[in-house]
Amino acid sequence: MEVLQEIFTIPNLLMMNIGMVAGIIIGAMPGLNVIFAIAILLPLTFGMDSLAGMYLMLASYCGATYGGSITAILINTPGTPNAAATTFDGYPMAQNGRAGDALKTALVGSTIGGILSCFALIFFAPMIARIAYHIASPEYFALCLFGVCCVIGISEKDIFKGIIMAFLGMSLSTVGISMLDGTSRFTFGSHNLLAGFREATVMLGIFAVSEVLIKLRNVTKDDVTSINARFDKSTLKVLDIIKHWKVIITSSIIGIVIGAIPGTGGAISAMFSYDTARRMSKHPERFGQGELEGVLAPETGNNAVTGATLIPLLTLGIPGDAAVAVLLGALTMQGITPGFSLFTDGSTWVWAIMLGLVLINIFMFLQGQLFIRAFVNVTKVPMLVLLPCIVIATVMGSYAIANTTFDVFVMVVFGLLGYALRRLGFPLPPFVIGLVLGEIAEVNLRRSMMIGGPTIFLTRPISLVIIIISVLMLCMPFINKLRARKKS
Amino acid sequence: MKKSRQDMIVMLIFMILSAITYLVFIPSQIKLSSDTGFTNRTFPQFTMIVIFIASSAGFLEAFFRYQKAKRTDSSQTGAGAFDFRSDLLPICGFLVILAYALLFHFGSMQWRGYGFIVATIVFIPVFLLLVRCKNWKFYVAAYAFAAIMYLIFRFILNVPFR
Repeated sequence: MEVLQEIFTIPNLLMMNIGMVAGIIIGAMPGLNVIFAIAILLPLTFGMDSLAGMYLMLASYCGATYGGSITAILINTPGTPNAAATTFDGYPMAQNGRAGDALKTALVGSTIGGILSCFALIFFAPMIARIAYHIASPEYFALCLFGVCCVIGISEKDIFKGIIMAFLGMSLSTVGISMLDGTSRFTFGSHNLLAGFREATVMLGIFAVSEVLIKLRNVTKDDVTSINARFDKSTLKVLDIIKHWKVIITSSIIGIVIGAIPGTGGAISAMFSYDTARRMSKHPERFGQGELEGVLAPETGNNAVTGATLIPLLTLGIPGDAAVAVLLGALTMQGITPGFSLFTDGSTWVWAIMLGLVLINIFMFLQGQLFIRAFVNVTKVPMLVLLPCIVIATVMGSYAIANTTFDVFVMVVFGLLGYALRRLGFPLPPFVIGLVLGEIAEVNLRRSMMIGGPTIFLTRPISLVIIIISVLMLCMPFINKLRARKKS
Repeated sequence: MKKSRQDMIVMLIFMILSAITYLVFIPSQIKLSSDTGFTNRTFPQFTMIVIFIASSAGFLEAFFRYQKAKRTDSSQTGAGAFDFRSDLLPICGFLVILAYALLFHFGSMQWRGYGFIVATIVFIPVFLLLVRCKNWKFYVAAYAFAAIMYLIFRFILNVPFR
């Protein structure tokens, strides 16, 4: 009852809806992804109550994950990588005059996937938190290593670039006053650097400003319309979609399992769900030609990730992917330390977050039902107008973090760095995960070494298992490469 | 081939930077907290060693790729490689954003309370002219967005813009 009272306040409900609208719109814009949506809204949360701020971010996370399907269906261009698999059958459906049906299928799938994922979060998170209560510094360090190795492992194409990025992020986390002994590091005599680089500032630069610069490469003065596809009203009822419950349940389970594993994400879950639905179907030959299940499976799968990714974040304080790393940045700014203590200190905050996520998914359904035509029209806003608006929002946001223009300069510099790294083929997720986990990793490594020296990681079974899995994750791309070479 | 060559250069840069950080910046920027065991320098040193090893391995990989490409098809240019002409507009865009930040910074000292407003008024037309935008509605839309955002940050989130 107390939890419900906390959730159902006007500011909280307002933030859920604002975050949802912003998330859907940003997700629907081709090229602007989920991380961008969360990063750009991050500064708005500083003056807010922590619950309202988190609702804003979580709603944008869910909204952007769903929003990517709009352009995937209408113009065959996924708004986010999560929606790439939606194009396979979504666009053919739109071409057959069933754009409305495809959009409604995506909405229903996303909502059910999201809600089931929330239930998984509510069920599993307290269990994992109870286990986490018994783990100490060596295990925490091993978990940080695991998070970093997972995210490096997915940059399979260029593993060395992934490693460089992760450790560059970690080294940048050491700038400022050291948590353990209070000495200053890499400050170059500047008092502005004593607090280190603020994660929010770095993320605004590395994701938002670099996105503007990337977009500038292709922007033209004729870029005035993004979507010209016809929007047909849906003839399907929700029950017609729920009839495909086997696909919904399977894709949700896939999304939940994949989401709970660090380093994965919605795009992998969507692809895997699509492939599974095709193999399970009685008519696999219809896939790729506008099959309803071909939209339902990936959209359920990618939104089923949203709640599950919060399991490692809320219980262990380990972000599973870059989007959740930005959420962790927001939590840190609010003075909240994620971990098992959230579940054991008797506070209702974490339950309000988990139950609020269910409500966010319901709002997503309502907004998608009522305003889908408006969302389609908003995505016609030309990139030429969006670019200066994004810059203004990021400058305001970075200034608002600590009311200093120094952060604006930091953001601009990281924007250029992000642009250069992306152009040179360096993956950004390992950088962000490294930056966020760097401090936790160092503190726990140092404490572990003080307790039992380097062998402590090998004498404690949990840390040993986690380290072995981490090493395997890191070696996986090399093994895959060797196997592929052998085959060829 | 161009991509492999570019990767080789980038990896070399990372090797040099990590070596300089290890040998010069860490000793000069971090005062030792203790002489034995795990010090406040250990973790930064560890990250630099990993970066150095990874960039060395990346350099070798790019070198072998380059050699292989040279043997098979020397005409290949490589997609995704840095090209100054196509990167000119983003670089100009960066300079405009940097100038916006500078104007905001110095403007806040010169015109107390109005630095951000002045900087934004100047930034919008400069940026839109850079991308050769001639549609006046786009200018109005950008100004309207800036005004709304300013009002939200200034009066709802209580951010004291100088």
